[in-house]
Amino acid sequence: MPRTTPIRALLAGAALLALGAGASAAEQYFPLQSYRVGPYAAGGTGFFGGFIDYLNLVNSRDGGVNGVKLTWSEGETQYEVERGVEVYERLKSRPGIAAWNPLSVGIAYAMIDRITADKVPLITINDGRTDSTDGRVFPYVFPLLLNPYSETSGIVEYLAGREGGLDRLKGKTIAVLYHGSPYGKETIPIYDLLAKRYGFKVEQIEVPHPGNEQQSQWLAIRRLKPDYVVLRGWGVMNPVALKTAQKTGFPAGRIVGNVWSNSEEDVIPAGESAKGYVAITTQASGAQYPVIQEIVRAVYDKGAGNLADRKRIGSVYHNLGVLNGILNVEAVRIAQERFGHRTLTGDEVRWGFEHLRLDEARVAALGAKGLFHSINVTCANHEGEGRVTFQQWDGAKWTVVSDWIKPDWATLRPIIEASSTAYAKEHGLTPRDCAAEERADAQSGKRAAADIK
Amino acid sequence: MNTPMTALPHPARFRRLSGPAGIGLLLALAYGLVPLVAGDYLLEAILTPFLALALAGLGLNLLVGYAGLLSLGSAAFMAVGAYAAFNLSLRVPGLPLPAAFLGGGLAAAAAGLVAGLPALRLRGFYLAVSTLAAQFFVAWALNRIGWLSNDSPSGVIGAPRLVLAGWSFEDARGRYAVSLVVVSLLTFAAWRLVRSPTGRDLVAIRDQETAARIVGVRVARTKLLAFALSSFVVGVAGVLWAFAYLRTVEPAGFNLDRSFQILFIVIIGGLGTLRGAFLGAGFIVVLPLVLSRLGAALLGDGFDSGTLEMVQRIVLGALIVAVLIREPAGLSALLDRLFTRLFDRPRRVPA
Amino acid sequence: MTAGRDLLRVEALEAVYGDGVRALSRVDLTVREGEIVALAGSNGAGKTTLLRAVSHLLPASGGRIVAGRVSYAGRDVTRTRTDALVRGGLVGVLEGRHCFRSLSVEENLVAGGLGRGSGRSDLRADLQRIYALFPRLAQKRGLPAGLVSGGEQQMTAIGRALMGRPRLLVLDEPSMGLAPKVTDEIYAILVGLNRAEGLTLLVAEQNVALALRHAHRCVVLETGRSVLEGPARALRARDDIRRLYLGQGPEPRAADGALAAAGC
Repeated sequence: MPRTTPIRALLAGAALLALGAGASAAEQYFPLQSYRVGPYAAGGTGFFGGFIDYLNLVNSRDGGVNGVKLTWSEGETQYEVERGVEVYERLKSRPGIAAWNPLSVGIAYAMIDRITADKVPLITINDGRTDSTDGRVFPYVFPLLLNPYSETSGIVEYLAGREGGLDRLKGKTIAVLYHGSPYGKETIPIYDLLAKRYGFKVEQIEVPHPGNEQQSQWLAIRRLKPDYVVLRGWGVMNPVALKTAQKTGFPAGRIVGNVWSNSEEDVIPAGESAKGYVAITTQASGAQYPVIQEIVRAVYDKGAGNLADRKRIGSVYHNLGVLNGILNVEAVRIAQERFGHRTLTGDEVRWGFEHLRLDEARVAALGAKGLFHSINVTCANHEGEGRVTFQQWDGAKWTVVSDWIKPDWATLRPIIEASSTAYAKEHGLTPRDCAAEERADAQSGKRAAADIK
Repeated sequence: MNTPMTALPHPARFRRLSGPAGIGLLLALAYGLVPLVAGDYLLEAILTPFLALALAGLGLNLLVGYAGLLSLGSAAFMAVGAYAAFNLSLRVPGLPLPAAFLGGGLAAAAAGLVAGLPALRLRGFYLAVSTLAAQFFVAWALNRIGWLSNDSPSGVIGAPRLVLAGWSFEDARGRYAVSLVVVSLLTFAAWRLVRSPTGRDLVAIRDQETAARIVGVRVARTKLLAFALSSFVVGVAGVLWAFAYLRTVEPAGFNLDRSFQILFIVIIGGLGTLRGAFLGAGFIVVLPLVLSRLGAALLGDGFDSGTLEMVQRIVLGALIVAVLIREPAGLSALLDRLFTRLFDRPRRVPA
Repeated sequence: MTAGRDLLRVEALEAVYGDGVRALSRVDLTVREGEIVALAGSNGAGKTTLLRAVSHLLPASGGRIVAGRVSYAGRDVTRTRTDALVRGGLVGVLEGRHCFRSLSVEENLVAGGLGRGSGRSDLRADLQRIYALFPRLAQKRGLPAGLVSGGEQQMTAIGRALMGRPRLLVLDEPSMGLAPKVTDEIYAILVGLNRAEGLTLLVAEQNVALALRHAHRCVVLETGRSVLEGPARALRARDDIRRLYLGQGPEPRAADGALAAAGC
């Protein structure tokens, strides 16, 4: 009878679920709120593909982290907040969760209270709330490598470099073409601040979402005759901007894209008009780095690669995923040195992230020299002083055209602290005393080391 | 003249289902058994959003199902409710939670009243298109006016904590309880409404606007009232969605897709029935989760989640088509038929 | 029938639809208290428009009054909203038996009472009165109005209007699409109400014989104008009327004469 089929399926499902629940002890689990369908699938497949590829590499090459196997499972979110929340609630009770990595500002926001209550770190690499950089107020949130303010500063530093120094920016004109959304508007005050400080003129022009028509904005830019245009775009707005720029005669080489306007998906649809376009990145693209080559050999050549299309290995989002994997795994490794080679709790992994210090030598040892520069996360600074570089699109691939540039963190910090203090007040939180914590930490660390001996 | 959305007249024989015994059983389950046996995931990730969207469906059904006024602005009214409640609790210190909910509903009702003005001249699809204006205007205003989101740089704001008179409803059970109480109260109010003279006026306008006019129904006033009442309920649903479920408020979550989702809930559940909103929300919210869990269980965790999602969409789409072909009046009517077949076989409709 | 003072007066009324499609030009009509007036005319002659104008339904159907006035019970009601007219006793029954099809027969009737603003005990008494007038409705009271027969729907629509305790009942084509037996039944009830309670009736009717049999006076509309008016008895006796409208003579002339198709 056909009616029995669904029942049988249900039973089989229940049995499998029961099996899955009985996971063995020495595992560290990464729940993934991925998005492989929907409008942002290109970013999602690249990022989560790279992340999974790296976890696979660590498992197959090293047998995990000090013998602790890395596991993961995916829940599809389509980049929608409510689906992200559902996946969180579904997977949050699994054992051995290391960290959450949603790569979606909306989902990340909805999780802040949840992960704080559940004491598990939330990684928002290159995105998320700027003020969550302040680890004193957001102990479990890590906007690793780059927040929007640092990105702004990094772009200005880069343009100064092209002009021959910060003092040479005086009298120059920069137009910022931003996406008409909270994301797009977030950096308006920072551009204004830096313009005042360095004496350049900034003109910020909004492109209403989705941005598939920009004639009037580019005519305004033509009248303005700026020295540079910064593209703070999103989705379809980016290729349209590049095409319209070409039509109105603005050279692509003088357009600089931000971190969400820097992928292959942003330039390929623009065709020829994207040639010469420059964009910021925290991780260089390309497959020539040792760690990527290892992934090709140890994962893809064995048929275990996550990307359906091998040509995307080394693309912007794939490399970001790999880098995200490196940072997560290293945080686990650092925490293991402190707490023991076993499955860690979320809080212990948080400690690992808070001590995630990878200098250039360590980065080279990880096979990622040139892929990214370094990171230095502390209790108070959850961004970790990520450096940025700039890549130019030649019509087929990105090529790095700058050194690793340091954003002006000191200037930005007071603005971030003002915002995080307001948040703490709104939510009735007392900021942590990082100095005291580090002292106590050092002492108990010594004691733990003595115990091990 | 009827809109094509008008529900078919339903025979009066389904009283059994929605009779006092059935309702009592349902309430006992929802208030008694479910909180006792359900886990956090069921309560927080399935039942809480289910309740919020069912409530939104209920509100929209007052407008579309009962008054026959088609609206695509539900998500906008949800947003108005959520943002109003957020701003009230932010800017009025010590405001108790129920007052924030009420304020959110009232703000949404006011917005609905304004958005309903075109209904005095337009109907059917033309009206639906005009309600899109509300949808776009609200999205624009939330994006443009930073004050509404407390000048949060990303436009995403955290919802206040669910605390009432010193009691915390922050855990899964508490969130479910808050949602359940709000939804039960408003469902009861809606039930009273549709049986009141005003409720009959709504149906009269839907069935025959001119005839309603000629028996003395104040058509303009009743239409605006329908918009206001419906938007009130939808607005409170928005507060629940943001405060009890997501814990954040962001404009992107209240886009046109959400409006369509709520409209589908109403159409699939059954226009012009209160139960329809709950059945429809079950179909649209819960069934996809069940399907994807089933798929994951059958194919294993490691199976490509993108492919799984596509398969699940196809299955869900096919189910929607199947239901609507089998019973255009929605799940509510389908359920009636099922019960009639089970318990009522020998009897016939009195002729 | 003794005719009282004027209850409804339409003077030089002009109405247009949309961008100026003229539907009524200088129409005059008077209905006296206690009278049954039949309004006759072909399709498109303006009967429905006139009745809509009287009930202030033109704005809802895309039309408007551009000149002239309507007065009811001595007051100018040209700009009075329908619901106020209903509470004042001017109640209409639309062409095509428009019931609320998903409400039950009884709920339809109650809607008529509520529109007038009746209280609970008034409603109960009025319902009993309607069921006494239309016993068939009493049997079907619980069924959705959309599921009862055409005649019963017309009875429901009339009963619903009567629930508003009208002084002047305005009916648009009550016989349309109904079997002669049902039509007779309905007219018998209406005439009975006129005789017993003095209910004033304004009826648009295409069935000329029927109208002349029951009405006291008749007004003929032709392309938006009133072209003929007189006591029903006198009109019935006139040869040209007999020949043209009652089929008791040679065939009417070709269709270009509007009078040919007009009924009175």
